[in-house]
Formats: sequence, structure tokens, C-alpha cells
Amino acid sequence: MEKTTDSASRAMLKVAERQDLSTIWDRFAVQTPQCGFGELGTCCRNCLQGPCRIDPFGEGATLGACGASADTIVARNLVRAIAAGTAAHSGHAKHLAHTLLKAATGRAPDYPIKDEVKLKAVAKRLGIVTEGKETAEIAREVAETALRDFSEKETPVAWAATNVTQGRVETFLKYGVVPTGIDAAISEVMHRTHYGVDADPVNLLLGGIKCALADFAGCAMGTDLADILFGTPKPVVSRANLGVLKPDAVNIGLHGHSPILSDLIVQMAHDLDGEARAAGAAAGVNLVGMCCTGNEVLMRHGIPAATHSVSQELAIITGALDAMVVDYQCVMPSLATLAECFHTRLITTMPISKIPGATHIEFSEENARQAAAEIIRLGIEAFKRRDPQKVNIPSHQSDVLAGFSTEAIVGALSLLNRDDPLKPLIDNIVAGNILGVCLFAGCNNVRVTQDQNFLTMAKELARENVLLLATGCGAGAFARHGLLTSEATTAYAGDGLKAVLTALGQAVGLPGPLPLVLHMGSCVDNTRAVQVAVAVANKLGVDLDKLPVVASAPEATTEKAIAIGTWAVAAGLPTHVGVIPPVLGSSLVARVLTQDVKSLFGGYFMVETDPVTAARQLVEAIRERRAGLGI
Amino acid sequence: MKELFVRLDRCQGCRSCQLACAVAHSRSKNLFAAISETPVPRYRLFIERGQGLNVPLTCRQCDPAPCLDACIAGALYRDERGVVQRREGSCVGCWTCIMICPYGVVGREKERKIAVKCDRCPDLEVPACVQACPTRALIYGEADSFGADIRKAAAGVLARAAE
Amino acid sequence: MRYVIIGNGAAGNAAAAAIRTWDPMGEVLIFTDEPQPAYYRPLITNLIEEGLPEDIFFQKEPGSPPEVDLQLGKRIAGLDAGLKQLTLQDGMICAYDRLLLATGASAILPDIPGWQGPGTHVLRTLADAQALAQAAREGKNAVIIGAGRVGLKAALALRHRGLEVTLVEQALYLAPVQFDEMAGEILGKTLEAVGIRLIFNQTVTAVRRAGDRIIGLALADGRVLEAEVVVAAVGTRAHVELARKAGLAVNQGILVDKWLRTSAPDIYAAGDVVETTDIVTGQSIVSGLWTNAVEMGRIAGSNMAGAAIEYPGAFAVLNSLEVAGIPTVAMGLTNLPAGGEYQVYQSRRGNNYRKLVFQEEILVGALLVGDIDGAGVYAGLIRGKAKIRKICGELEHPRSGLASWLSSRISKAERAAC
Repeated sequence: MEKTTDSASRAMLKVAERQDLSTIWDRFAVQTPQCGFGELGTCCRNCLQGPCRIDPFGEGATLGACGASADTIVARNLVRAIAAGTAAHSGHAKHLAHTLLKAATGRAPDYPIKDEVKLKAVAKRLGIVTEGKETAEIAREVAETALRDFSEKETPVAWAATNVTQGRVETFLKYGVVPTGIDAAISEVMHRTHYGVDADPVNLLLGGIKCALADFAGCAMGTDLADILFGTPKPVVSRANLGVLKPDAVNIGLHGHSPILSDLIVQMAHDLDGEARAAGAAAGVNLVGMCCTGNEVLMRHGIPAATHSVSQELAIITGALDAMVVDYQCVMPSLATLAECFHTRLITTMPISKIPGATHIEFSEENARQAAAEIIRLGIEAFKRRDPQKVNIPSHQSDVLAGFSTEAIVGALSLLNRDDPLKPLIDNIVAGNILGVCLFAGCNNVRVTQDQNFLTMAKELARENVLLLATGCGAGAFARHGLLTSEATTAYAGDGLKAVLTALGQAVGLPGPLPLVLHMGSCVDNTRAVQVAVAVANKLGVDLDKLPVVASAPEATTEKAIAIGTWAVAAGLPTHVGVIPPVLGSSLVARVLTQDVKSLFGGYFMVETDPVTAARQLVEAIRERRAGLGI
Repeated sequence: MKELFVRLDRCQGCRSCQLACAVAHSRSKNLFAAISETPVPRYRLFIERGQGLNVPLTCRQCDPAPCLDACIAGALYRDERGVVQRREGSCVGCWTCIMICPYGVVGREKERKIAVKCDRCPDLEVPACVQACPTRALIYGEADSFGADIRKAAAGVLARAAE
Repeated sequence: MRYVIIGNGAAGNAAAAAIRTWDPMGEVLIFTDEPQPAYYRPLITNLIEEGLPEDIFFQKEPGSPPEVDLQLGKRIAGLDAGLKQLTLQDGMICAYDRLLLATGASAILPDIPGWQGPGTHVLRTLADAQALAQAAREGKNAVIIGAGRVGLKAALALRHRGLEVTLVEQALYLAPVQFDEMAGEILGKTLEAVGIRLIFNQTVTAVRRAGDRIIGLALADGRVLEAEVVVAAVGTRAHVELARKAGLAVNQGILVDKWLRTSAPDIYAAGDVVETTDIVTGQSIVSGLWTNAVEMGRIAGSNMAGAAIEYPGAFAVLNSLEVAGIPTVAMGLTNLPAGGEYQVYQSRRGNNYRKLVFQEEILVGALLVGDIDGAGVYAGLIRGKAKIRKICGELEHPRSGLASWLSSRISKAERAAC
């Protein structure tokens, strides 16, 4: 199997081979064959009487020591994964909530509120009165509402309840899956999956859905609060892939997830251009993004994206990355070892996220600018030790048009119809110029040729006039391969889609159509797509599970992806996953996730590893929805 | 003839060999599909817990083979590799081979009432169990080279002890 | 070198193959009085149910040794051990360098009035089975005398054919050589559940006839059983006549030393005709088991061709039989003789029954009903006289017990060196 479709990644893998550097691909090869019990999800380590395994061929153990069946074990493992994903997004969101509270109460001068309009819109949606109040007051109330959303209370999680249709709320109430607290939901999952608590697989899965809805809330909160603190994204031009590294600049990589760190570095970087030049970097400081934090600063500041996910190590292997600063999530521990083979300084910043071998500079809201400067200076120092012999910057980079927040999309549509911006979108869907919408999300996965599933599916769907949205490392895949461009629309879009994107492109003043895929932001920004869907649903007077909208994580990897996929299903979307999740050890769980859940929530999982088949199945799902709407 | 050797101190009891054996003897050759086949594919080696050790019990392809002698239906024969194989269609399910195998590694397939034993994966270069073992507790090789490896290791132990 | 083998059964053929391995150039002749080539005797009951299966006959292996000279339908009239010559019934003389007597045994006929005549059967040869299959097509009621392993197989086959079947056994329970009372009880219930009638503690005293036709079987207690088909499965007698007339040492079977040599030079014996030693008790036995015959044939043939392999003795009891869907295995001492110190470990769960018999440190017998997984481990431990009494609790699961035993024998140094 080829490791990657990305030319820059390929070039760097050759360099890695020459220099005998191990990458995720090498380590994965040593890991195979992986344990079949783990692959099937039928290994349980929840108590000290284990580890228990269920023999899938029925001859050995058919029950765990405590009597848990394969169905129970698989369901427990799956919902714990959802809880872990939820905890990650929850951590991201609460960090922003604390920062907003500090900002509102004058304890974080480095974090002024940038988007008051967004602040008021969010407040209004939460039912907070904004008339006659100072910005700081509104911000405080929003932050306190946010913080309350994490723990024990008797009201639904506000960021979930206020961000979906009424129909969804009623469905969630009907099946008892409304979370009352984000952390409460996570904690409930850990409790019910403990030894000797919930053994009913369907009950467990419903508990997982409740937790996934808490994840949705955490994501939506993350999006809202980041927009409030750092600005709501607007269309922006930039570039992507390793070619964005500059031989004559201090290259600093921003990796991880939170704009609390990355946005500050962006703000400080050019203050230190002079020091960089003094150190010999004629082009000053060059910031590049990786993974979701890269998406955050791309969307807001046009910072170019170096690479994503499975190829994150390759940025260091260019020999031109002087520092990589990270916060939390999706940061491979191998980066530290790899950095030691080069001059690169790996800098961790969060108290809960350290890596042996890295330099730790504790970053807090109170000392943000100071810490950011210190970090950039470490990069400048490192630049002096760069070994020109080891520099191999591949030339590949693609143009990128990103920044499609909900507001930006609605803004573009309003140029076609000022009073009713959703009308042109809905009309084109009804007319069939847009068959439906597909949201691409998720990661790369080392077991899939990098980006292969994303690219194949996108091209198949675009040909069928499906409007494509993307977030996270999925958007990153499209960015690196030039699909976030007008040229890609011209090359791959079906006629109907092309016409719509051309009209929109013209309206916003582009020389060509809008890009083939609309980059909506980081993984928490998947909730932006939900916002658009909710708006359309409300306008049409139907619920989300009737819309011709589907989702796909063709190369999913993380527990966060499992959580997001689950809330997409709960929201009513047919949701494709391109790798096999560890659930096939229980035919009951597999059936519930792919069939039974459809009759409860309208959405369902589709697992298909072949991208062409997957695209066809998504088109069929879209057509089924259209038929249901009578269009 | 290559033999299957077992390094007892390496066996973690993970049973990856058993899964791989069953999958190798399934129609689909894929774990996810194999588990729902009929008849259910059977693994032909067994992991038992001894005293402080995990003990994989595999067919030793004995010569002379008690199972071969005992088969009252002529359903077992020795192939060119020296492996004792079951002849398709001849087994009558009398279980005499199960009764006689001193390692207890002949199994019963209930669906077709036939005996099932290790065939040393004739279609693979290296038997599936050996490939699957994550700690290389199972070794497929010539007796001479395996013996040589043990001698080297033992010599190392002795030499270090002498220092 | 001319090797002559009398008997084309398990022992004869195993010997022929072994001779070929050790002496590829030697001439090998096999004489048999049967009209057809070698077949798997234990499979003949299949004829009653299905008709003649093709693979009942021995298959030729790819790469097997060159043909032996097989003489069908030849009866041996006499043996001259001094002149090293055989005289055939048709007058032909055959000289030998090495001779193997693998003449087997024949079924014992009950010595009761009325036995002679049509309708009574034994079940030993292919011809016997064909005759019984024919009778089963016409008859409605079958009585089988003797509920040993042959009797049980015949009963199940005839019942499968749709006949009303009654088993008459003089002991108190089924297969009294192999099974004990508890196993007999479990299996008896199983047989009754498929409609086979069981009569214990009875003997058949006469076959009542009207002309040639059988009209009933008289039991010792006076009852008369309706029957058109009668099968006697009351044991076999070794064919020792040829050896006895030639002056060889003979008892219930031909007497041999541990290399399977008879009392005459260059004459060996193997299979059901041999009197050998029970490896568990050390007593003399004549074994009627296919497995033993093959092993003896292989060793005798090898020794005839120059090897010096010792035959360790036979299991008197070594039987695997599936009774109406319930597998059973019996080996070694399953019924305890009077006197002697034995420790018995028994467990029963529903229709699963297991009995292990120990004598001091070693395992001497195993009886399994229901779950026979890994049973061969017991055979290996019995044969090897392994001292395993200490771990007898773990022997409930044979492989697990084997793993315990194996691991206890590995020294720490050995482990470290690996």
C-alpha cells in the first residue's frame, strides 16, 4: 500500500529513509498484525479480573469473567471512546470559557474581545439580555453560562439545546439523551461503563449518544468563544503544504488545537521580525500551521498550513522547522525524538500536555504575550543552529481559499439575495443544481494511503453536484491538494454545482468560482456546518434528519472523531466512516449503529473502506432524502 | 523439513495465533467476515496455562504419527512436506485420532462431523500462526538453525556467568 | 530378500509399508483369503446404512512405495517353519525368507441351537456386512446379541435403517469392557431415546425356526423375542490354527517376544492374531483394535527388514465411539479389577461424564462421555507412565493438564537459555 498521495509527504519520506528516521508508517508496520480482539472491540480491561477476551469463533471464552457478553464489551468500549473525545473538546472549550471570563473581568489584557457582534448574537441565542449592558458584562454572562454548562445542573446543556432544531430537542428528550452537563455526561459514561454497572448494549449506546451531544456542545462552545475572542473568520487567501516553509525565515510551526496559544503567537510574530533578521533570517519570522490550531489561524489570519495529522513529523524532517510549539491533542510524542535529530525546538505549553524531550514553557492567559515572545525567541535561537546540509524543503504548495464560517457563507449568499440569503441555496438544492451537501471531517489514518479517500470521494461527489464542506485535517487534505481553489471547481464540479459556485464567486468578487470545497474551520467548527443545516431546516420547516445533508470521516483516527461522528448521526445525518471501527465483534452493536439508530434519530453510520463505493452510497443517501422531501 | 518451534518464555497468551489460524482456514480470509461464516472456521492450535507459563500446543507432525496409524478410515496421509493432512471426504468422524493424539491438538468440527488438525498452511510460505505472533514465540525454521540459536544463547549465559 | 505376509488387513499392510521403507529392493508378497483388496474393516457398518463407500478401500498414496504382489482369494493350507515354506490350498508352494503372520481373527459364533441357517449374522468382513445390509432391507425386527462396540455400532446402523432393534447383553450395562455403570447408564438412556430396546443380564439360549425362517429368539428367562435379523457380536477368536499346526508357541493368540518374533526363526506376527501384553496391567491380551494392529504391523515389518524396534504392548481398551450424537472415549483401565490400589477421579455434568483412574502416581485409565476434547493427552500420559497424580485436578481439561505437566518439567535454566 502506498503511504501517501501527497507529493511533499512522499519527498520527505524519501529523506526520512535516507537518514534512517522512523515515522508513524514505520512504527505502524512493526505493530502489524494488530490484535484481532482489539480490532473487534472484544477486549475488556475495565477491571483487575481481566483482561478478558471474547473468542469470535465461539470455541473459547464467550463471556467475560463477570458475564459481560461481546455486545456489552463492545458497547462499553465504544462509549468510553466517545467520552474521551468529549473530554478533549470539553477541555478545549472550557479553556476558552475561562479565558473569556478572565477577559471579561479584566484579568487577561492580552485577550480583548474582538467580535462584539458575535458576542451579542451568542448571548441572544442563549437567552441573555444584551440591551443596555457593557460588552464586558455580556461577556461575563456568556462565560459564566458556558462554565455552568460543564457540571451538574437540572437544565439541558445550553450549547446543545440552543444549537439544534426544536424537532431534534424533542427527539433527544424522547430517547432520554439530553445531557445536563458536559463533564457530567463524560463522568456518567465512566460510571456506567465501570465494572458491574450498565450491561445493556442499547442502553450503553444511548448513553454514548448523550455524551456525544455533550461533545457537540463543547465543540459549538469552542467555535463561538473563539470567534468572540479572536474574530469570526472571513474568506481568506493563503497556501498549504510543506513548500510554505521558507529557507530564509525563522519557521515556527503552530500545532495542537487552541487559538488561545496560536493566535497570540500570530499576534506577536511580526513584532520580532527585526530580531529574526538580526539572526540572519532575511524573511523574518514565518509562522506555519498544523492540524486544528493551524486551521484556526488559517481561517482568521491566513497563516499557511504546513501539513496535517499523519504527516506531522515530516515538517521536522524538512530540516527547516526551527521551532514547533504545541498545546494539546493530536500531537505525536515522536516529535520530540525526531526534533533531537535536527535543530528543531519542540515546545510544550500546557500543564496537562508534556512530552519527554521537549522544552516546556508554561503558557497562561496572564502571561500570554510574554510567553509567546519567549517561544518565538527560542525559535530564532534555534534558527542559528540550523544545518543547511539537512534542509530539504519540498517545493510543493497549493493555493488556498478558506475562511468559510457560517457568517461568511451567509454573507456570500446574501449578495445573491439580500433579504433571504438562504433562498438561493435552497432553490438550487430543490432545482437539483446542488444535489445535496456533504461535510468532510476527521483525520488521516496511517492505515489509509494519506488523503486517498478524501480526494477520491470529493471528486466523485462533486461530479454528482454535491456541495462540499470540510473541516479539520480533512480540510487540510483538500488544502494540500489544491481543492480549495476555483480551479478545482472548474476541473471537478458537475455542471449544476459549478454554476452555483460560479455565481457565488462572482458575487463575492472572485475571478472564478468559489472553491470546490468550502473550508469551514477546525474540528470544533463542524458545528458551523450544523448551524447552516439548522437554518435551512428551520426555513423549510423540517427537521435535520430530512435534509439531503450527509457527513464523512473517510480516514478517521481519534476518539474525538468517534464522538463527532456519533453526534452527526444523532443530529440526523447519514455519516460515513472510511475505516473499520472496533465494533464488529458484536453484530448487535454493528446493527444498531448502522440500521436501528436510523429509526430513532434519522441518522446512521455507514462503514465503507472503498472510497468510490462510499461516495456512491452517500449519493444514494442524499437521493433518498430528496425523495423524502419530494424534490 | 521446517519445524514449528515454541519459545515458551515468549508466549503472552494473547491468542493472536489462534485468530490467525482460524482466519487462514476460513473462506473469506478476513477476520471480520470469517466470524460469521458457516461452518465456523476452527483454529488448530491451543494456548493453555501451565505452571507460570503459557504453553502453546501445536501439532508436531509426528513421525510415526499416532493419528495416522489410528485412522480407521484412511483419512490421514503424509504429504511431500512431511505434514500429516486430512484427505477431503474420507473422514467419518469416529474421533479415534482425537483419542490418540498425545498433545490433544486434533479438534472436532461439529457441523460436518469431521476431525480438524493443523495442515501447516500449505498455501502460505510461513504458517499463519507464526506470522501472527507478536512476540515471536512461534518460530518456523530448520531444526539445525533453531538448535544453533539456543546453543549460542546458552553459551552467552555461561560466558556471562563465568565473568 | 523375499518377505511374505499372510493377511491383507491393518497389520499386514502396515508391515508391507514398513518393509518397503527399510528395504526398498526386497520382494513383498501378501496372501489373503478375501476376494477384494484391503479395506478399512471398522467402516463396514457404513454398508448397512449407505451402501458401499468407495473410500472403504485403501488408497494409493502419491509417492508410495512400489507395488507389493497381492494374491487375492488364496488360503494357506500349511506352514513348514523348518523348510521356510508355505503350502497353499490350491497346491502351490511358496518359499519365504521372512514371514509375517497377520491372519487376524474371526467372529465367534454363539454355540446355541438353531444358530445355523439363514438370518443369523456376524459382522467381521466386508461380505458379512453386505449380507447384513441385504437382510436389513427385508427384515423388520433385529436382535443383536452382545452390546460391545461391534454390537452397538450394528444396533445404531440398523436402527438408522428403520428396523426395530433390541440389544441383549449378559452384563448389567452397555459395553461392559469399555464403560462403567455410570457411562453405561448415560448411554443406555441415549439409546433408548432413539428407540433401541435394551435387555441386560440376559443370554440368548436358542434360535427358534419354522423351517429355515427364524421366528424368534429364546432368552434364558423364558421370553421369546420377535426377530428376522439376528446379529451376534460376542467377540472374536484369533486365527492361530496355521501357527499351532506348524508347531509355533500359541495360547489365545500367537505368542511373540518384544520384537514381535514368534517362537520360530524368521517368523513374525502382528495384529489381531497376536497375544501381547497390556501396557497398563502387564497381563497377556489379544487385542482386537485397528490402531494396535497398525502399530504392530509397522514394528514387525520394520524388524523383519532389519530394524530392532521394541513393541511396548497394547492398550486392551482404546475405543472411540459416538453413540447417537454423544462422543465417548475409553482407554486403559476403565473398569477396576478386584484388589490393587486405585484412585478414581470422577466428574459428571448432565450427560458429560469423565472418569480418570490412577494407580499411585500414574494414570492408568480414562473414560469420557460427551466432551472428548483433547482426550489423546490421557493416552499419551498412560503410555508414557507419567507421574502426574499431583496435578490430577488439572487433568479435568486434558490440554490444560498437559501444559501443567510440561511446564513443571522445564527447568529454569532451560527457560533462560531460550
